[in-house]
Amino acid sequence: MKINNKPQFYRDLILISVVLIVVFGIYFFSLFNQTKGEMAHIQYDNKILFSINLENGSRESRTSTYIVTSMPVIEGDKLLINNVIDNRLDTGDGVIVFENSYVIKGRLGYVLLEYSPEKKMIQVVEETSPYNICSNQGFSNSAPIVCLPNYVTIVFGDIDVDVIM
Amino acid sequence: MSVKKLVTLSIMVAIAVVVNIVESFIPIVPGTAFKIGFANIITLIVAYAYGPKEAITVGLLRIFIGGLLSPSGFGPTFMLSFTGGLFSIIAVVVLRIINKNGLIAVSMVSSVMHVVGQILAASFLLTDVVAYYAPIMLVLSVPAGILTGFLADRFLKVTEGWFQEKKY
Amino acid sequence: MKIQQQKLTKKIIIFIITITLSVGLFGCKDDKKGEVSAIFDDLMGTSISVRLYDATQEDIDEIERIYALYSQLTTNFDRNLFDSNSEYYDLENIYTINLNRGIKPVTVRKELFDLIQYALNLVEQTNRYFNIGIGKAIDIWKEVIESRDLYLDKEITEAEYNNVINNLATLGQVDLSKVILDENNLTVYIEDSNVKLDLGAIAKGYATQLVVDYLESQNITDYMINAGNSNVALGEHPENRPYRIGLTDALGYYKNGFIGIASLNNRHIVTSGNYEQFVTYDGVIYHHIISPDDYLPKAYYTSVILIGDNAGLLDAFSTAVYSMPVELAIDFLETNELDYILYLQENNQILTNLPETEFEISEVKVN
Repeated sequence: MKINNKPQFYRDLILISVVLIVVFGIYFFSLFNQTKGEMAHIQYDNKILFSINLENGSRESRTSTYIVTSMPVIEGDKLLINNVIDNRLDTGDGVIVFENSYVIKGRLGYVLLEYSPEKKMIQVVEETSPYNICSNQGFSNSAPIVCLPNYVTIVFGDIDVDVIM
Repeated sequence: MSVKKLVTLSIMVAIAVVVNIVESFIPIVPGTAFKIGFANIITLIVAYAYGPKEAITVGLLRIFIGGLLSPSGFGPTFMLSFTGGLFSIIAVVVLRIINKNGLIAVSMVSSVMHVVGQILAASFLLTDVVAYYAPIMLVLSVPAGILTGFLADRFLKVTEGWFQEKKY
Repeated sequence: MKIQQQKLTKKIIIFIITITLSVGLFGCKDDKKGEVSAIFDDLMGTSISVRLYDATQEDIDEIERIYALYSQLTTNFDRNLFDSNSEYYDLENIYTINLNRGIKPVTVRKELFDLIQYALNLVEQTNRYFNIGIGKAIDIWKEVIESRDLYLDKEITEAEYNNVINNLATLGQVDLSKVILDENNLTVYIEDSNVKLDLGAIAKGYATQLVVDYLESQNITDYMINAGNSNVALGEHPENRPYRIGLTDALGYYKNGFIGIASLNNRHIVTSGNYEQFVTYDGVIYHHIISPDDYLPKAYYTSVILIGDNAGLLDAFSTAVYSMPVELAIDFLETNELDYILYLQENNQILTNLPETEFEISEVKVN
């Protein structure tokens, strides 16, 4: 079932060109829509749990906030603070704060993230997931950090207001 | 179907599954699960050595068995690889049936469709934040598709005659 | 072979369509029930946006009715210029009262009567820093300010400036005792034609307060009413958080274009500023908020922002405070137990008595 190669070559060319135009069109369009953020919004299942002002690290929480005095440690599916198991967090509810480190509970387990005052960026330090894609991403202040299996996302946006007077 | 065909297709599925799983541990674009898609080579080979029906079967089997064996099982991320895989397999099959394009072009389209499927699934089911990564993933899927298409093409040229039912 | 191919193709196409449709339906998220909103573009001389959560179209209609009524009642324009289809087309209003100065009393609707009475009380409370009788002076400034409305260059000529000053000089002090209210007959009579009523500084707030009263009577708790971006009434936010209000920094001295962000619920917030209606002459900004004392605009502030429970009062007070020197203003506001944010012209300082949880001051831009 050999096909005459000449017309197929042209059809291929058309198909490839169409795909290239669409793909690179989308890519260049996206370059103009960069959102650099001053605020980082940490979300579970697309609902903002808390936000961090990247400029000064100040936090704005929309969920229960527990401030602790020593660095939380994730061991498997448990959260240890000062070697004591902490159960206060629910999946998608609550945040534990130690200085610039934050712990929330995602769908698969605890997620530890931190804000760097020097870099003015955020990174996910550790999380429970099979491939650890989002903790390998490193620091960011514009590209969203997506921890898909945990339903946790960090997006960056402008200082968010409901009305301007 | 002959025993030879059955065995060959089964081996194809097995190879595709293994390739799929090994690939999943190699990060290419940080922050995403973007893969080159070497497992798609198998789908392409089957589509052009045998036919669309066989390609669908092998493809779907690869997705499901790969899902079973993967660390995260049938969780939320499975829906992504399922939809992505489905879109790319459908692209291969449809283009194979229409039969108007060469293998490399088909591979490129199916690679792009894989990304499209993943992004759509993620946007509707999980979060549309992933749309941020769509452009870069789409751009990278083009050379990835060309590469896998090229490899499949080479393989088929080298093994011409091995698969008795259909000639390339 | 061909038929088989066609069958298979058909199956595949149907499959794709099914998946697309189901994913599409899946993706359609349910919008909040009972969220209604509207924008009224030609009421009260500005754009009013209303957003109600868990309310009906009837509520929107009632709000429109309130604003339409007060728009007609408080306007200084001939009502014949108004939409003759409006149900309030025929009403006696501020224009007719002013038209009959020194001639005869005008019978008005109780709503307007109450408003004038309320406003006169506020004149007393503010020691006449808020004065509803200085319409003639306001007109003189309005004419020159509106002449520059569509121009980016707000500079006026020496001739225009002198014209304004000379015209103002012919005006005497306004004596509000010449405004005679008859409660039994609901009439308003201005004896002295030197006095001209202008309710521009209170009308929006007063009407907004009535709107909020209505919402509360209907148990509507989640809402935001924004009248001209200078009068905002806030209920609860449906996402259970405070509303975030960005307060414009007209001078660009602070980062992000805001002097700060206020986080509030269940309050009114009113702003007065010199950066929207103004002209310039010889390096000085002449804006539309004039002091009833000497009919000249004062330069103590760039913005005055007041936060409190009564929109009408806040509207009037923000006008009053704008003409008060800083110490007097703070004294006045503390006595009246109002929250404030003052953006001073001196050193672009920001003074406030709001806690940090309710008002986050921006950082100064470093350039």
